[in-house]
Amino acid sequence: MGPAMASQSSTPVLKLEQVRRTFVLRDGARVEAVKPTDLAVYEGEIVALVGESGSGKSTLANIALALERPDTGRVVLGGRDLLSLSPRELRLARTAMQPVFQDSTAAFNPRKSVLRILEEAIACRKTPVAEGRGEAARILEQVGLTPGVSFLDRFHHELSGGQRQRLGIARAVAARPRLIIADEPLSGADVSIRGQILNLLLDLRREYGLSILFITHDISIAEVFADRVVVMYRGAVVEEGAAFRVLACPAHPYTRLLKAAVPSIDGDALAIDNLLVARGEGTGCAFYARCVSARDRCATEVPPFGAWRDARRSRCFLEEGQTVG
Amino acid sequence: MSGQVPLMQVEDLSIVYEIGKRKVHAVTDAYLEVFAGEGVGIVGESGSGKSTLVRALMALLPTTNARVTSGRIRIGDRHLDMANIASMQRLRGHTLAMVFQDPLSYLNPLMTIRAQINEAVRLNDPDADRTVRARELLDLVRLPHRSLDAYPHELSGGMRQRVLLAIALGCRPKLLIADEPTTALDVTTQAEILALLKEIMRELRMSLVLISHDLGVVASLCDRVYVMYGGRVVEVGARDRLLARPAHPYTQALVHTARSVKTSDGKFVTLRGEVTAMPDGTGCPFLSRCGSARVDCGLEVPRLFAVDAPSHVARCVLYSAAKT
Repeated sequence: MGPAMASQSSTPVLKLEQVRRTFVLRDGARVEAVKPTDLAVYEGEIVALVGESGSGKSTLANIALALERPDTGRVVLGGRDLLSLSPRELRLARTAMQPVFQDSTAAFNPRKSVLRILEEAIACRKTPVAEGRGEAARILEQVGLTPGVSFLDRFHHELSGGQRQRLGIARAVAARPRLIIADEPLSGADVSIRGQILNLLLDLRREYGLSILFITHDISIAEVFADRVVVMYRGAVVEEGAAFRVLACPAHPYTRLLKAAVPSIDGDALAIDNLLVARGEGTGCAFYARCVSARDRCATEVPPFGAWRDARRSRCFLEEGQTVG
Repeated sequence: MSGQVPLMQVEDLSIVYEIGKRKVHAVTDAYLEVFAGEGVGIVGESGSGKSTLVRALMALLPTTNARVTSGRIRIGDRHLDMANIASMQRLRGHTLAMVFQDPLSYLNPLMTIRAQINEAVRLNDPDADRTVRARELLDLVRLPHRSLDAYPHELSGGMRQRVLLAIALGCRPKLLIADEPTTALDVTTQAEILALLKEIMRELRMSLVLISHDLGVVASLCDRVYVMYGGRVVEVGARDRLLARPAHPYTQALVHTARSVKTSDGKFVTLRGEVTAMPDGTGCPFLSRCGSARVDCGLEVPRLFAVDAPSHVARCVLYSAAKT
């Protein structure tokens, strides 16, 4: 909670301004994968981007990585608008943010050794490193692959799933980025190494002041790991705020549903029965058809993304009465 | 449950994969008991042997390199040798049915849902009115009747899992085996499927063996939990008891992870190392990762010791003092 609050005053490492992405399907139908959206990640901050499949969270992450070009809007990394750069300038600017992917098997070239994978990342640094081999070994040890030298000449198929996920993180930090964008980095990993991966990311933040944008479908991870949580539904952010506040007391009915749907090892009953409804789509709130708390106006009016209590924002009429100042 | 006779009893099950000249002991000396109407969870990570165990029950192991070296099963009044694949296959359908993690790869993309449900009904219930039965099954899994004319690709992931479930239930099994049935689904869809499974168990008085790496999923459906590690059953107990007071150091780590327990310095509690290749017999399979290991842990595989209650057992010498 400390870092999140302190960092609000500083400038964001990454800022998406009103980015929007529409896909046109073969039959001519248009899908607005990301509606005009703002997102900022501050220095040293861990932001969890949460939502179900189809919520637009991965498209938004790809826009942030400048892998996907938004139809409108700006992507600002370290003060520079990435969309206005030439391909060469973009390549250089982009080294300041590094991705960690979900599928650690597909994330590497199978014909490159661990050393080559890391050397390429190390070469992205502003200050050149004379001895790549030693530096690569040092980074491997930092992510818990010890002794580092023993891994340098291996290929990624010779590593276990957990080791590969660490290599993915090693490659990301080798470029000395200011921001890591990790798309579901835990979903391929075994349960017992989940804590190791999260601790590793926390260590790297402490050591380098790294910022982390963490994309996940698991809201319970967001609660324990992130400073701030951003919840997306059908291409729009529906709630945003300090993770411990949002999860302790979700403002948006969708966030409430996501939280209740996580099967807890302590609560024997699934508490979602009274949170599930199905009614016809409206023209107003995107969540209307699934919302237990919907009123008449929700069918026809789109709720604003308002700033309500506790410095959090949510897109729901229910919160209107709670407006502070 | 004690005093009752279990619906199904598996004993002394060992399964070996032969990879070239190498032998991998995927399951060693495992056992499993399931009572009528009961939900039993099997928890473990990849490589723990949990999927191999249930595939042996369904006679679905690859015949090329998997070998059941020992194992007996009693189900109802039938006693079978698990190494006899042909006799095990006859349990499929009427007695045991299974749903899988990825429904799309178990559905035929070229056949309508109706045709695939009919197939299961025809094989197991030849005299039934198939139209009526198909509708009954869709009602049971809460799908609209119009889904019958759909093809698998036209359905969402949650709907496909419901179809797979309808096909499995079409055989009127006594016991349903579900191998990570909700892992590929969104959390809200997962919650719906888990709630549905719970209702169906009650409606049909059917038993469930649920395999999952997620203790939360297991806790929501199961009365008893088996924990597997390195191909062996390392702990068995009633759900509440096992989750409140996990005995085996491995189960303790899993429970801590599921609760996202943090240490005093704000770090997540972790288990060192990761699942390695099947250990080859000498010593406790968990030894290299165990924080409570003693000198004698490397000498032999511990047997199952009772923890407080006889129905709660753990394969760990920490409990050897509390003799059974």
